[in-house]
Amino acid sequence: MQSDEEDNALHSCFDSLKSAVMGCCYSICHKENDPQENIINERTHLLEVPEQQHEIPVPVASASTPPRKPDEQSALNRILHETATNVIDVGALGPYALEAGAYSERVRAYTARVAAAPAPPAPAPPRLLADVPHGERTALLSKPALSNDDKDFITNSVKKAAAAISELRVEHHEDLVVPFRVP
Amino acid sequence: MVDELRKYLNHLLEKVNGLHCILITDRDGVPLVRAVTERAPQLALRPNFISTFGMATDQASKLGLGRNKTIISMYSSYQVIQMNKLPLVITFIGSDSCNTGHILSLESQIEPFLKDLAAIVVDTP
Repeated sequence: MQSDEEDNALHSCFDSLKSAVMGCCYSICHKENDPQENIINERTHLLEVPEQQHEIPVPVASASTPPRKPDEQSALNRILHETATNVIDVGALGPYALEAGAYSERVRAYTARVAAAPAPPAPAPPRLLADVPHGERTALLSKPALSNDDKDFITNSVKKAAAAISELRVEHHEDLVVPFRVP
Repeated sequence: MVDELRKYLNHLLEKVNGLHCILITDRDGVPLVRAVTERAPQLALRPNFISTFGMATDQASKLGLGRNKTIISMYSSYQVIQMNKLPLVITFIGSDSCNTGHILSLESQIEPFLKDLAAIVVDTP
């Protein structure tokens, strides 16, 4: 009698699972397939244990051990819930709109709370190559180009700097490789 | 806080050519702070448009590729970039020719303000 009830509960759960899955685009996010789960941390096992050792042996039905029905039921419910959350069913979502009253009430609450909140921290100081506003940028770009004297001055200065850099030499005084306690 | 934040968002709006608005809302599309120019399309500012992102990002997160962070939608004359900062959603709307990478780079500049705003959303019943 008891086993019949269990069978019925199992069947109803599997039926619900089947109906949830059928007709939907289904994606199971296995934990081992999740890239975020593969990160090695302090809880990662150093030695990989074969999966067979994890499997719990199937309990032999005996009259002495009472059936753990609530546990099974909760486990099945949990599986059902996880499956339902993993199903991608866009059709079932439908249009969603907040009621006008709730919307305006929430806007009022947010406005009051945001106004009462402390001032945000000052934005980061401008960087070395700070961006200039659009108006200033246009004004700068529309200015007349550099004069020829300035261009010559820049060119000559760069040439002199390049010549000076090319004359830099490393003077060899001692060995670059030093033997360290080599007999 | 709200005035300083709006001023800062307006400053960011000026930095990116073709960006029409920046909205910080909750997942139902209720705005907390917004900086909007007159070129922003009014239909895209409605909560029922913005709230679709909440559902879309939830479903996209089930595709086995990890958590969905940003959805970029390109339209004929606009682009809409929405970022998942749940319980907050950041929405940028710009012209179709606006530099998308430049908009995405604004995320790090808005990020420091989100903690206080998220606390407000969480605390509001």
